[in-house]
Amino acid sequence: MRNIFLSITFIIFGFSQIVLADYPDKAIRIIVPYKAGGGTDTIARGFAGAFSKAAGVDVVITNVNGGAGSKGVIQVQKAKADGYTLLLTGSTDMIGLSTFRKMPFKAVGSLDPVGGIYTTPTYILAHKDRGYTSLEEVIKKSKANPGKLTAGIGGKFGAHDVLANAVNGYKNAGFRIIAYDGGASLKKATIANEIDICIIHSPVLLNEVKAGLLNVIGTGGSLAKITYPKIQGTKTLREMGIPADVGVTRGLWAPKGTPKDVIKKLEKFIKAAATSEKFKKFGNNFGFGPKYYSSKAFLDLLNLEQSVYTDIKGKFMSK
Amino acid sequence: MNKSQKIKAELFKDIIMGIIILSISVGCFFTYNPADAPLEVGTGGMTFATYPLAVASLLTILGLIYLLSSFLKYIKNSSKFDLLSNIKNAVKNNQSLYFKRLGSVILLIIYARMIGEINFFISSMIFLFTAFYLFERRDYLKMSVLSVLGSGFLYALFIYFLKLPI
Amino acid sequence: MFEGLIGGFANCFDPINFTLLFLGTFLGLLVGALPGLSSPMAIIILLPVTYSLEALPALLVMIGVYVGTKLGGSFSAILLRTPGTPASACTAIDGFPMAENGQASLALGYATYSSFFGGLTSWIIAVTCIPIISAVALKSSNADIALIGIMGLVMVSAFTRGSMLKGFIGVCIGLLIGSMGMDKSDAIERFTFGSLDLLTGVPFAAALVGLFGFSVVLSDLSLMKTTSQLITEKFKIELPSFKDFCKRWRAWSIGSFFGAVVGAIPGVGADGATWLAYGTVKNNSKNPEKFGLGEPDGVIAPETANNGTTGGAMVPMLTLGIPGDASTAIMIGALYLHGLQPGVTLMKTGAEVVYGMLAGLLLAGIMMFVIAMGAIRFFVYILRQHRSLLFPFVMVFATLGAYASYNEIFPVYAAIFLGVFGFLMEERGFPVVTIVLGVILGPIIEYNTRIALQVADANWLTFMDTLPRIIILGIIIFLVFNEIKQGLIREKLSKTK
Repeated sequence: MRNIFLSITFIIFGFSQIVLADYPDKAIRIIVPYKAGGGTDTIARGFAGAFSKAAGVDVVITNVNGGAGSKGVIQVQKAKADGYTLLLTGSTDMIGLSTFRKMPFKAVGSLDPVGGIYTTPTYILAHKDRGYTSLEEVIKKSKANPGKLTAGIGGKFGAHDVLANAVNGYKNAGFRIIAYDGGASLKKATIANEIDICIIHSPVLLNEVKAGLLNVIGTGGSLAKITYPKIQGTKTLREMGIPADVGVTRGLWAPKGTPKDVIKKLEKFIKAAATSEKFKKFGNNFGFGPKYYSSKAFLDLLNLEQSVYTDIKGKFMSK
Repeated sequence: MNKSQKIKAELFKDIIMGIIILSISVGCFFTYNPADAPLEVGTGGMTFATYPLAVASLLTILGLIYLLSSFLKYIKNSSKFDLLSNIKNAVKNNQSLYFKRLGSVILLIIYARMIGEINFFISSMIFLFTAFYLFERRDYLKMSVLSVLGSGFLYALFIYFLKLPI
Repeated sequence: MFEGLIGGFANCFDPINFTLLFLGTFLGLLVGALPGLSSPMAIIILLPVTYSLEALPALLVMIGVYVGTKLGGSFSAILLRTPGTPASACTAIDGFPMAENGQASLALGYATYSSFFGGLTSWIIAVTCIPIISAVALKSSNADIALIGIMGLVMVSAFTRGSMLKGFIGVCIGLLIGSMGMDKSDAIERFTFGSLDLLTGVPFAAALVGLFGFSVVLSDLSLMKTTSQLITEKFKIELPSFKDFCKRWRAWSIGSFFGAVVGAIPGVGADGATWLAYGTVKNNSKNPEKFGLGEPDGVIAPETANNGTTGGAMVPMLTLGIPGDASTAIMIGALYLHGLQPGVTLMKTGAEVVYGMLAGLLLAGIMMFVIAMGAIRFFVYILRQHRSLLFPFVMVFATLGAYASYNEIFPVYAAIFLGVFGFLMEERGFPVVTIVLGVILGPIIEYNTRIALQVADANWLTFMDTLPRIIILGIIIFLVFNEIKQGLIREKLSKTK
């Protein structure tokens, strides 16, 4: 009797080990809540190759575009918490959505962050024909003519919007904020010199900065690591007296309730992929060397960014 | 039914359509702001409500013109029009057509609902076979072969090649 | 420049590159022909497959798909009235009636000739006038796009037969459907009824599939008892001759013009160009009353414009890093993934790839022509099948196409609902085409008008600020008068009947 009991226990134990040890045994799906070809999507695809190698299985990127990024997040929320469906998006994209709109999810709390892979501050550009060399100069001009200078952002309620409102709020700058329908439209408007300043995530438009067409006049976070030495010392908002850090860190989330050992494995894969040569090469080509955040570090970052956003929203943004 | 009666029946349907259009356009004025956003939100002289309400107003005007003209033509038409007998006749004459149309819609809804719940290959097979049957085919062998081959092709294309999350 | 291009062609004739370009074009035709599937979708699927390739071969595959789907989408528009892309929707207006009249192969043949010709002229213009096209792309601002959109809308009588009142009602309904969801400038919800699924509005591809595809299935079920004309007649493939095509020079020259000019403007692109081309050709035709019933010029004009936008869309992508449409946006992402940096410096740093892509664009057009001409027989054979066999497949493809566009199930329900709605409207004489026109152009017009006003600080005079805008405004006013005249003529005609 006891032998049978023991053998059954062994079998179950052994079986469970096999089952648990089998993650991952099929393709992992990463959901990107933005259109294909955009910044987050390009970074996700650059990352997928290295991640696939580290995890040993195929990685499929699925774009679920809509609701300013909310549809993809909701889909991951509803997905099975087995580690085969993950979300890849920007930290402040999620925070922006859940802070400023009634969403059925929070950046911190309704999904489990498993790691950050790519950090970029949001920077401020101006066309060379405008002749601006620093943000302070533009702010001074705008203060003298309130409501006349235009600041283009890539969409409402994201990091761009927060930066614009922080500048307008703390410095009383009086910019007219124009929300374009995405990075591509904003890019075009900036290159075509239709707006005074452009607030966009680095390293988008870095190429044009290198070519001398655009000037970087300020940044929401340190540019020390950007692959263009000339602008690495750009003054940050804090150095100008605006107490806000604005940027975006792309990272991965898993649905809540994913088993702890699966999360541990994911963290391992993400770390290996984010620090791999392949991803580094992609990052440097894109404009920034990648930076890896462990899930705890990523969570801390999210909490910090969330507090900045809630602060600025409360002070300067209506609705 | 003589020609004039047929025209009258058509005019009646036109009136119904006119009422539908007007309810859409008037309904816009009640549903354009589900999140109760304040109306001053907006920049550059146009708010979020300017464009939809402008179009809704235009549609209301056009809808009224359409409804009134149909109504006037209806009244001018001297034949008698009995709604109930008209419906009965239409159903009697077109029973199989109406059944096919309704059946197609219901089948589609069920198929859509089953995506993700039931194995894709099986649900597609059932859909195809049922649709063939609904459209009055009775050559069961051909129907079955096509259902299986068709589902196979769909599976290969959408699940294997396009990697859809079904 | 010239040496660069020759180098580009040489690269394309490398056996691997050539094969990949061919495969891409073939795939593009196939995917485009399946109702509901679109070019961006096919390109996205191929992205991971192309990782192991070098930059140029990878992009050649994508260009092949891009060019192929432009014609493929028209095949399904003509044969099944379910266009693969919004740009192909216009082809269905005359293409589908031609197919129903037993002239399917003729329609497909004209479409193939036109697509090739449009692609060829757009390529020549693109390559010889790169600086001009870049300038057009850059200088065209939101106000211009808004005006172009309004111009397309005002031509609505070109897309209707009979009552213009019904045409305008259809357009208004389309405009309202297009405005559902979060407004682009203020991110405030409209007409969402509290539903999260509707937060982005009616899924676009679903609207096309529903309004065109499902509604045609529902309405043509009435024809199911009758065997199709093609079966009773002897099976003949009648392809247009080159001379026939040349005779219709008005249609394809207007089409190429719109394709080349409008195609360079990011955000309007093929969607706007095809409608404008169709409307202009009809208004200037000797027999406008034939349009909508199966007039070949009605296929030639939009098809030329459709492929005519390829050159215009690729030049800004290569010289400025600005995508003209969804497919070129994905190509930009692919350039990054292959170690290149799209933007103002790409012509210098990635010259080999750029010239290779431009050469590939022309070659893909030629391949598309050859493959399509050969495939017409096959496609017409499919159409000959009895409707009871065909329709279930159409329904399944349309359903899955709507699903695949968004990777969720709500668009399918939206498509079914719009299918029923579109069917009911067509029964009462409201052409579904006008609704689709509103859905496509509405968001473009609203977004661009609002941005234009914001940039100009609420100054409405910005719409008259530059010469091009004044010209477009003049055309719009002229068209409005034309519409009124048309309307009065039709009223008179119907009264005398």
